[in-house]
Amino acid sequence: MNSHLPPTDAPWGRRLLTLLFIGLLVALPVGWVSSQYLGNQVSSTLSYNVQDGWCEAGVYAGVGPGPHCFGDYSQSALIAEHDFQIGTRDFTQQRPYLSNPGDAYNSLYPPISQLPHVASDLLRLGGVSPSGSFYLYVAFLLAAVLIPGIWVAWCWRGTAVALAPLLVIGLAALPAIVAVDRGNSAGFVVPFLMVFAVFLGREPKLMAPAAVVGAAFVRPQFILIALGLVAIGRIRHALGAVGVFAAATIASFALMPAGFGPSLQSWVGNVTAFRGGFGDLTFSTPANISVARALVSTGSWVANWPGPIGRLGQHMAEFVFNHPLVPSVVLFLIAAVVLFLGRRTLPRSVAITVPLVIAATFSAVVPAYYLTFALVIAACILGPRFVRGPAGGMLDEQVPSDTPWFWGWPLIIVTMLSIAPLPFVRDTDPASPVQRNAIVLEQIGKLWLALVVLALVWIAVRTWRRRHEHSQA
Amino acid sequence: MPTIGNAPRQDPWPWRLRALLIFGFVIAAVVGWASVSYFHRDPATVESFTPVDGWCDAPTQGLGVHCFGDFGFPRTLLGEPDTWGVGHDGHAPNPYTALGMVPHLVTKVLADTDLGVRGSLLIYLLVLAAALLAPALWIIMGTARTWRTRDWLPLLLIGVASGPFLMTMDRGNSIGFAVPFLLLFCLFLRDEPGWVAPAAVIAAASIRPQFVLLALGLVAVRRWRAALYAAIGTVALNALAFAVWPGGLVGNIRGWLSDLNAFQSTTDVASDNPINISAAHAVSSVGAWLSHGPGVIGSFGEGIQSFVHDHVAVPGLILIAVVAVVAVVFRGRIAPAVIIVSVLALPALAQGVAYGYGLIFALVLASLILGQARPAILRPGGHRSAALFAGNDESGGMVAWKWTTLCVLALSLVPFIVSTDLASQSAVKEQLGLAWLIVVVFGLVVGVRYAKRGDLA
Repeated sequence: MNSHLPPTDAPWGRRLLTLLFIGLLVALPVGWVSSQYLGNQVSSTLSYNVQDGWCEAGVYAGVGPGPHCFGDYSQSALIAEHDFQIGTRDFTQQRPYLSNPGDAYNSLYPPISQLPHVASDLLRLGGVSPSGSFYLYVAFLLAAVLIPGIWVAWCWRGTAVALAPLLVIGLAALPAIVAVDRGNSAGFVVPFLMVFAVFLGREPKLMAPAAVVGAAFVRPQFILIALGLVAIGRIRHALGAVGVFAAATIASFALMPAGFGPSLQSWVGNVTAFRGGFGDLTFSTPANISVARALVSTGSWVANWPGPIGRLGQHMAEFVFNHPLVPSVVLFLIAAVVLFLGRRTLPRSVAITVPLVIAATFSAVVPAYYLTFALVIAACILGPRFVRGPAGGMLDEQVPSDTPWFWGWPLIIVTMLSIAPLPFVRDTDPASPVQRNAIVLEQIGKLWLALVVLALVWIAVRTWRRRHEHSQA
Repeated sequence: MPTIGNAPRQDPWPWRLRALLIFGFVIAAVVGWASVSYFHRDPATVESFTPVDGWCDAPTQGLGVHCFGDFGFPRTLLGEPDTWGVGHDGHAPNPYTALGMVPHLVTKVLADTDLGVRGSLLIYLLVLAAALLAPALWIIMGTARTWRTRDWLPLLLIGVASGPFLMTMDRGNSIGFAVPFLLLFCLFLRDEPGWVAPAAVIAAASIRPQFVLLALGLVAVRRWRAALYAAIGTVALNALAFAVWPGGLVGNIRGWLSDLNAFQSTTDVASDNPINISAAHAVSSVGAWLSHGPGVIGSFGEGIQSFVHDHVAVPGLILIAVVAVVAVVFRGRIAPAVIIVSVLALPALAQGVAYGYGLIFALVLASLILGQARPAILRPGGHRSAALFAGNDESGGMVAWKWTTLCVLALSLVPFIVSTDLASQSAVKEQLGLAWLIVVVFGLVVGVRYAKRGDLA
């Protein structure tokens, strides 16, 4: 069957496309007025301070005349240089350098996650200019975050809107902009997430588990998308993916110049001590889309209410503040149980969305560039469900569609809000050293958390009813 | 295979323009982000004018620091003893006709009510936006099967995100009110009811008198009488408006002509900043390039520059004459696409100074190339007709001209925030006047060739 049917033939795809257009239509004039007439720095509002303070690091200096130095690239390149002992830089004299040069291993991520930066460092030290290695890195990063847009555009080839996805879920999409603006290697996870979503439950069967391992190599928390394999009843594939990832990750520490033991020990210390670069979970900016931040923020808001509700909110905020990973772990466990019980009967949209959101928002501090998972969800809603499958995205895959309104509409609205660069901004937060982010960006973590809870409640009720009907029959 | 809009095999030009525009916007998104965030470029300054334009008390009457200067400036003249003839002694000249001042008169009346200046500004901007979005809305109405399957992309590509929309809204320039009339003129140029096209010319020329040149299109399709009515109607209405305006007919017209003359000198025709899309600037630019050449070529280039500087109206007048001669001699035989492109671009090209908002005609032209069906309100029954570039004349010259037009059109619509320095305007748009001049001349040559071939056949 011809796969590239126009989105107008798939209701949910058409709705999302319309919402994405509306998002851009609103974003453009609001951004113009906000930046040109009201003096707000829209680019900082949507991402991070343009003047990010990493130009003196010597990794990127001299490449461009502007004040922007793609801070995450510069920082990670230095860490990779330190951890892999590439070059002869004296890190005790290196400024800026936020980590402890005396430690065996400074990265938050395992060695295999540092691969892009090791490659760019080797290129730089191998004779390629700093700008050359950077542009090569950023070109690959850009290609990675554009994969969902390219894929949908390819699926829509021959239609009048064929190139539109390159704009609405591509270069004009907020997550893509932020990932490239920061130069953060988290963007490299997108192609793996895309393969995972497209091949989940499809032939060849090993593609989805391989994509899980690939995504986890980029950022370890994405091993949690193995939940998707559980949701379609491929428990062995899920366990296999976890096993391969764990073995490869641990083994990769053996390759470190500082040795297996010290590197692994230092890495575990880095991970457990991490609370984000700007203080704690009470900060609104830089935007933190984590489960922990959503609960602290909600708890702090409820704490203003009178009586026991207020006290409950306060306790919740304090508990999550002190144990930021507990809510994520609890949510993961509940999701694992619900998806396991409902396996093989779940709508594809739930089997893809819930694991992606749980994995992306798992850590205590989750910057906005992790919203790249929303690009994958958008591509799955807009595009055909499979490269050579019937038309319609993941919400339209059955005719008549069994996607209920209470799941379909919130999903496409939250997806749109995550992707459209809506630059509405509040007054600057005096407690924060950086420009305040857009309102939507600051609140989007709560919306994704609410969406996952909604999906789990829906699936739990649905599964219970089916089992009840089955037992009665 | 079901498609939205035009099926590529029937008429590839809408698809090609869409592809060019989307590709352009994709590039513009990246370039714009880097330019604004990393190189401190100011989108408003690059695409339009400096945001701090100083034509009002911004904190109480404007929006932030911005006054929408072309909305604010005419208001300062209303109620003054001299509406025209003020373009001396350092004062800004008033190039608007009495009819052209009517939108500002209306907003002044609104501002004197409880709405205040800001309320009147809001209403003015909303109506202006609606007028500028008319071409995009026309496509959306025309190509949709039902409300549920509307294709909203044109609202972005030739609407809110387009350069002409952004600039006209940013300046609050009333030239945008002419857009629906330009669209109506093109749709009814060769169509019934016959009074719509000349009425549209009169309405557009009431907003800016240069749009009377659209009447040449009526000549080209052998509608002599309609052209005559349009011209006479324009002159009569403008004269009437000048006559009833305080100051008297003769004094007002004399003052207006004086201001018009002063307005032409407000910008050096050789300068790239602000963007000047007139034929005079285009010819001057060519002269500047040639002046770098050796010997005779260099002297020739300098001669051109010097001549245009001293006779800024001449290139525009020559172009009008050429279009008029072609329209008269080859009437009824020139391809409609060539006629429409030429007469739409002519009002902007013919002036000595034509700022970037003169590119509003690009919104109309793009809609005519993208749009396939007539909206039901204009033609009961939803009769479908072809888009502007559809047709069988797909041999060498015509195809090359259509591609050239498409590329220049895309460059006119996509806002590339690129400038050589902080105070400069868009480097891409600096030479758009020359590009449109080439499109018009190339179109006339191709059109005449086709007309002659038709004669021989």
